[in-house]
Amino acid sequence: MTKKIMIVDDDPAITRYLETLFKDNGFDTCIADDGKQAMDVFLDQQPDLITLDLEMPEEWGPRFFRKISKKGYTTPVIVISGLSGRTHSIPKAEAFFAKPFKPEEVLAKVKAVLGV
Amino acid sequence: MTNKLLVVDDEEGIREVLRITLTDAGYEVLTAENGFTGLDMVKTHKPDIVLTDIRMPGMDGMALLKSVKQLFPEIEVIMITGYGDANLAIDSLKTGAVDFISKPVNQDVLDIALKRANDRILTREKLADHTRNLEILVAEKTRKLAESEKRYVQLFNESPAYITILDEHFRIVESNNRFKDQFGDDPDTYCFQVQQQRTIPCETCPVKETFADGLSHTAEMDVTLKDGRVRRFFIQTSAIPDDSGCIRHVMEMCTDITVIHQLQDHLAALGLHISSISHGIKGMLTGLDGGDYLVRSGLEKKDFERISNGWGIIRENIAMIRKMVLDILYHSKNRSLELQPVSVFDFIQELVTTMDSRIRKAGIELILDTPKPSADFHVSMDKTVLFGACLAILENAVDACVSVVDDRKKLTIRIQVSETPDQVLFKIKDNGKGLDRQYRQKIFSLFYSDKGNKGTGLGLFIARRSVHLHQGEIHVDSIPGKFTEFTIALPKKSI
Repeated sequence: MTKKIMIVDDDPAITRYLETLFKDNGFDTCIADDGKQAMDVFLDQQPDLITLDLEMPEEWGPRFFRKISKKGYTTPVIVISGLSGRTHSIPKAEAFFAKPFKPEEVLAKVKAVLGV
Repeated sequence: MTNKLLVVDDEEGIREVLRITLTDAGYEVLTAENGFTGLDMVKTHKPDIVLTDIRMPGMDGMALLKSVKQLFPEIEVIMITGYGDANLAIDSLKTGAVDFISKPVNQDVLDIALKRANDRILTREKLADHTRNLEILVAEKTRKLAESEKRYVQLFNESPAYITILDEHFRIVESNNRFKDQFGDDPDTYCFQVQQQRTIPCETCPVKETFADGLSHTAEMDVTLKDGRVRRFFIQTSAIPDDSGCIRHVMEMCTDITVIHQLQDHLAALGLHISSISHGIKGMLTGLDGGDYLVRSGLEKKDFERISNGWGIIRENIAMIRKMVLDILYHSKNRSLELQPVSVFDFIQELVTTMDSRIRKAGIELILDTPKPSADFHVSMDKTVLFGACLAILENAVDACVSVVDDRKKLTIRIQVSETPDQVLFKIKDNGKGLDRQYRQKIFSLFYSDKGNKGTGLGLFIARRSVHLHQGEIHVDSIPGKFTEFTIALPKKSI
């Protein structure tokens, strides 16, 4: 079955970029513009993996992560953020990529986590 | 110096013997045959020593002694006494004679008496000399002391720092001119009262610490001058012990470091913003990477829509980079104004046209309370500069409205232009999320932004700079959750 990746980022250029990148590599995607909207999208779409930005205007990435963790979800998260050196903000994240990232590295990590 | 000596005796033989003997001994000798002549000669010649017979017809030796001592106390008188004059001789000593010798005159006894008289004269002269010197010395020392005191008072008063002497209750016992100029000179005031407008002492106080341990302490504090201005002071203290070593007073010396503090703030802001700029650039680079990926993969797949999307992203990011670079350049340059009369009506129209689609898209109602064409007037301004400032404030207003979470709230932005006799007031008010007090203070500072990675922190800083270039004022009023109102006041007279 096709794995679904949820992309959470407030920059539309980046969500479109990741969306195209993942789709080109055979994944399904869904998008949320910020941490607040992310919960609705997450519950609705039940993704297999999340790429998460840290700094967003309404609700920051770490808070969203804590919320889904509290609900008992263990969906793997890959952080993609411009804030370097903030790996500690989501200690359970599978990986941390600083912007600008290398697409092949992100893809390799996504595939490894999803076991594809 | 030869001493002048007057011999008074009614017996010529004795006078003559004494004259010869004493002239031999080196005296300048004058003689008189009775008391009256003697007194006259005393007045005329002012001898150093008078040698007088005690018994003489007319004015006797005692009377002469009294007169001489009364007129010239410094003249030494030696009495010549006869047999049985012992009581008189004692009296004469009491009256001031230096000595007495008895007839017939024995040379040795005369020498002793003269020596005694001379010693007394010498002692008196020395004493007089000494007194004179002492007076000169005292005068000199007094002058130096006064000069030195004046100098120290001057140093204290004209010191470029604010100096106060405080007692253990923090009462200002003394203060220098600089302090008095800026904080007033009311007696019986306390430092916390004058500098901090407090009724009780400050919690942390270097003066208190110095009273406790006698060491010098430092602190930084915001103080309010008597004209209401708030300045940042660096405070140093030192103990002033009394003779027993007990600390009765502490000196507080303050330096105004407001400018340094502002520089520190700016440097801190600059540091913050360099990281914020690099953060922004990282985002733009990622966007460009994305655009590049879409264009390349679009070309491979011959997918025109994908290429177009990718190119759109690249263009957006180029525009963002351009705007950021222009903002930074604008901030770093000193630009001179190009003033011209601008119609307020046209200015507002242009502003509205530029922002209208954004305001509408965000579902905000724009209310204009600006002069109709009939009531239009002109303001002298550099339109490009001021337009940018108003645009930054309007963008801010839209962002503030967009951030409101409550869907039912009717969002509005009101632009109002009005006149006072000296000023033109531009007010832009939104009923968006509002600013709390802390943000209101920071909002015009360089690189401050509360919009996460959406804001550069330059817009309102540049807006304020633009208004200040026009010698105008800008301020912000707000209640969190209710409204934010920016007011730009421009002077009517051309600048």
